[in-house]
Amino acid sequence: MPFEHHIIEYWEWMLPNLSEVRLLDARSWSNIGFLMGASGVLLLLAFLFPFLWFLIAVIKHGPSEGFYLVAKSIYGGITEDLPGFSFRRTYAIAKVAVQEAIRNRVLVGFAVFVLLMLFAGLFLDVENSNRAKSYISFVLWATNCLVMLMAVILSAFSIPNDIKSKTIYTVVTKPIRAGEIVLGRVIGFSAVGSVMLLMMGLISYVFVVRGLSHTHVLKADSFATKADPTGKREGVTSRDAHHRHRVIMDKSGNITTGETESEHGHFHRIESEGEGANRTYKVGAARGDLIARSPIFGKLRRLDPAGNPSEGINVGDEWTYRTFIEGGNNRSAAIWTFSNVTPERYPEGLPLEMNLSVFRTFKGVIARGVMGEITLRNVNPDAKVKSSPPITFESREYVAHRFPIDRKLKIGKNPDGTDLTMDIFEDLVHEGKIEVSIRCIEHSQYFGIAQPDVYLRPSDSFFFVNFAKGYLSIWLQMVLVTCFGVMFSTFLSGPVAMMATWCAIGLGFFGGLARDVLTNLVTGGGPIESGIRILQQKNTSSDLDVYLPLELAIKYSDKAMLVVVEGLTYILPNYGNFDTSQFVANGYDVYPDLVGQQLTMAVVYALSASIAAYFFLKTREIAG
Amino acid sequence: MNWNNASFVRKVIYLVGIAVLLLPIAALSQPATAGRGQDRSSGGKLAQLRAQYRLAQAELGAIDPASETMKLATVGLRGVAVTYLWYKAIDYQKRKDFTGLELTVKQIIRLQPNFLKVWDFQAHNLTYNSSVEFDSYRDRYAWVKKGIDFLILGTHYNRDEPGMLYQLGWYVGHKMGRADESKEFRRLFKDDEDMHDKFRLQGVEVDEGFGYDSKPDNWLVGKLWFDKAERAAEYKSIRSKSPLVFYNGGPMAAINAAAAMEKDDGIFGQRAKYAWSVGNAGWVKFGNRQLPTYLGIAIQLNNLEALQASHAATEVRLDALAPGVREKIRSEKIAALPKRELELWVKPVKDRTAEEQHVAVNFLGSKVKATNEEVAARVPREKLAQAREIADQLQRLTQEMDMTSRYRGTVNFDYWRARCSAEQTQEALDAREQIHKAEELREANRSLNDSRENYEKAWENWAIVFKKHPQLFDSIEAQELVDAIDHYADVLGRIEVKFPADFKLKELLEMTEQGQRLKKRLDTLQAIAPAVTPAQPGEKKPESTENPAEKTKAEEKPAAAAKDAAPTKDEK
Repeated sequence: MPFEHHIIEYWEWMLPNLSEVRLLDARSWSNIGFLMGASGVLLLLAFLFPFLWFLIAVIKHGPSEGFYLVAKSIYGGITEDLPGFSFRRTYAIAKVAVQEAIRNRVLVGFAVFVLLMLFAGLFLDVENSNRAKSYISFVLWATNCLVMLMAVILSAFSIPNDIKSKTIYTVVTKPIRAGEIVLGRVIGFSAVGSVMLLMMGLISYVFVVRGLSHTHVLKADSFATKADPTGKREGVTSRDAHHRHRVIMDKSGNITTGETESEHGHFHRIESEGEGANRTYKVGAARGDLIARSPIFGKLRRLDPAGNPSEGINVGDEWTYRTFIEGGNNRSAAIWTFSNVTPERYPEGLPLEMNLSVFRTFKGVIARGVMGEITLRNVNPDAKVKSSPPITFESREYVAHRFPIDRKLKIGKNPDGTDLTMDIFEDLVHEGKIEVSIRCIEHSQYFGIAQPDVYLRPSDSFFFVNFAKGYLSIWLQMVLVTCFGVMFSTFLSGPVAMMATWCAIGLGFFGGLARDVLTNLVTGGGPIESGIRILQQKNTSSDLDVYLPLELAIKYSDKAMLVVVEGLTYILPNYGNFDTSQFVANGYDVYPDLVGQQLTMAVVYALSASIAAYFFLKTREIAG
Repeated sequence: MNWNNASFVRKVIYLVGIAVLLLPIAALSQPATAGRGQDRSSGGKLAQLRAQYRLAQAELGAIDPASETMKLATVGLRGVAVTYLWYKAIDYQKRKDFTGLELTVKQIIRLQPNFLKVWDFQAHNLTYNSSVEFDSYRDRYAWVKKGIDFLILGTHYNRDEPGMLYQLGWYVGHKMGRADESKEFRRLFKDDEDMHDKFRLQGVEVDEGFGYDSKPDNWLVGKLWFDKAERAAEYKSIRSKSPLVFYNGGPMAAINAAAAMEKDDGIFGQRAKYAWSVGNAGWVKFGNRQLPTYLGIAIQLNNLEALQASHAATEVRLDALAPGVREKIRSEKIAALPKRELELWVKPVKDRTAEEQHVAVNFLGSKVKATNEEVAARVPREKLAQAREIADQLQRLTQEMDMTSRYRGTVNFDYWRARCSAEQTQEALDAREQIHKAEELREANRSLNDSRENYEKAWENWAIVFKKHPQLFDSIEAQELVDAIDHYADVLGRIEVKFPADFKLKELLEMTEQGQRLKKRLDTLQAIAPAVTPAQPGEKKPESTENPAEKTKAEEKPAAAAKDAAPTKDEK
């Protein structure tokens, strides 16, 4: 995979791994699991919120009156409002919200989207080496931005406008509860957003598919007249959509793989008709660009040259997503352990796919990739057959290199001259598990690997379904933004609620930066220090050049602000966790565990925001 | 009208103020109008300045609606948007998401289309930094092309910008011709019809850059870009580029084309000679070009010898006005030397240590030398004015000689002039062909005796060349000859022949560090190896017994081969 990704299974994400948690290392706190983390935060808020509410009530009404008000509201909410909740009334509010949204010309957002699609060709780089990725990223980004903008505007202004125009009084005089008002608006605005999202998704899909659709022409005279030493001849297709493909023909005049070489992230199948001078070629539609791989991942461990477990070598890359294993020795290897490997699941053998990185310490053979070796190993140390013979391969960087391993592997010759073979499932798989060991066999060259780089690819999901999953993520973000927008609008004015919602979105995307600054992962200081550095045009690592007491004051003020921001990042949703555009754009299926995580987070945040909105609305005198 | 109403009065004041301010604003920003005769107007001050310095958007380059739209859409926050995009581009590059990098870079230049440094930086980033991240040479070539395409796009936004055109020549010539994958890049370039068509659309006639095989040669096409840059520099500034380096590009490209023809393509004889003659002609033309210097004087690199002759003649004229004065001043200065320095000065050269000789020549020599101003000061009163004029003339000549000498050193002018001349001689042409044949036979591990014969003929020819052009010893090409000598020693080793004691290029070995190491190794081997009579001409020695098939197996196990084999150039 060309993008950074860490696979976390659903229950691994949900449940705590306390052995990895260190109290003094904030970066390790993510190991406490979502269940424990969310429960802790919600419990804290459940105590903190009523306490703050009580303090405000004490200031307004005195201690006993204040306590009575708070207790009555909470008790009333649990014993009256919750059992008395009416879906019919909620639906009515939702219907009003939909009408309000249409009256507020929400369709303008859709019109802007259509305009963007019409003129996208002017702004998109049509000569890009991976047009599918750029087109898909563009449509997802454009949809995301417009839908979020629409959700913020709709949700933030609705209740404040009602309060300002006093129409809220006609609503609250009816037997309607605060919770129904809040939930009705959330459902209504979400429904409008959903319809718009659906239309945008359909238009985007058509835009992407039509935009990428093309073919080429291949003529017999496109091939070189002179063959190379192996007897192969190379040709090229016509230039269409700003690129052309190489085609390799073997000695007998057939296209070697029945396909063009991959270019710009795709290839075409070629059908040939006729013989000799009358031979013609028909180039099919583009393939391999709009896909959704469904990889089956294994667990990775690395061995150093001494054969000991290791984290791998850093060859000097700033990006530490991949570490490297050294080539040219027998022990240094990357080993993936795959589970649930059965002949029913993989009848043809192991459909391996690799995304290795290569680092050369010297040029070596420039015209060829660095050579590697795959060995299949039995996880059972007492097995009769411990491993397969090594299978050599030539590395290919920046492409998903398909390398299927046949079920039957040739290991020698029988006395009668027939091939002696081994069966992967019978000889090497133990209790559904098998190890795939990858080594670099060239001395002083390195392979770079991360866990998601090697996987089994038995089949692909449908691109359309994966595209829809990408839009599902956007929908979840929209619902969250709507919930928070409505929540802020219950106690803030329209513009301020909009600002607060934008801040919440911003914190969601950039909250990680605050944490990185606090833990010194990112240098440059907090807001005040950064501002001074910008004005003084200093870089992030030079001294501030101010008096020491002032410098200390700045640093401590920044730290205090960042601590508050960091705290908020644990309360507010991290919208980056809902971003699956990289999966869709790079052709990988949004795996079910990730969808599950997103749904869980969305439900928890939406419910929490709605409950908070209910109580905020209740505290206002307009809401009975 | 209620003049007592403060609000009304304020509004009137504002209106009057606006009307008054409109006058200077109109004077400044009135647009120029086209028309005939009196209808034509040069516009306000800003429009006049734009016309004077050719800064109007249409004059800078093509107007891109997408770029203008994006600039407007940032509503004054263009700087913020650009900063963010730069940050994203760096992040994409760090994460090796080169698709994202390419897209972001294209967005950056839409917001900053006329900021030349952006084009320069990002083109270099794509061509040099991004391309090397790929393992496959085809992918590297594709990214070098992207950098070139990117820069071509830049020439649309910044028409006839000499610096950009120069960069294009550099990338096409040097990046493709000097990379480790130069052989592969040059081969791919020859057959890259799409790139050739793109160049033709930019006004670069690729057909004029054909090599020996009637296909475009990257160096010669690079020269066409350099030539285009030079034409643009006739009416546009080359900005912060050094004129010396700027005008050096084209001639060097022609020279590099000739060198690559022999080294990479294995073409020798009359075709190579012609290529070197073209390179030579370009170098002479470069030497005759007037080059401005930072001192404000213009020099010609070819002029140094004439300047030196003129300086000597002028000095003679000065000495004629005051005969014997120069020697007298010199003697006085020697006599005035401190005791230790005087002792060193009078010490015979053969008795001096190397350090003493260095001090005597470089320090004491200039200390005791009589300057022209000192000589002029002692000329008789009636000739003083004339002497001073001659002294001033000598000072200007000295300055010009000094600058010419320095600039020559910067571009290694003498070496390339000698090289262009030497490479056209029959000896050099033959020597190169012989080395090429010898290396081919050696790498194929066949006919090692013929390989040896070719090497030895080559050494004889090179000895003749170096005798006529000793300055060729001190160069990278001489370094490559040492590699060839190493291979020759290897061949001799394989056929069990001793390295000749009277080796023709012994001096070359002694001049280079690698040569000295090789010499030491050979001397050691000579000392321990049994005496073996060198084969007489015509006598066959046993050939290598290695099978070519075994050589193929060795290629399949590069790990083992790389461990055992002596270090080759590729492995360094």
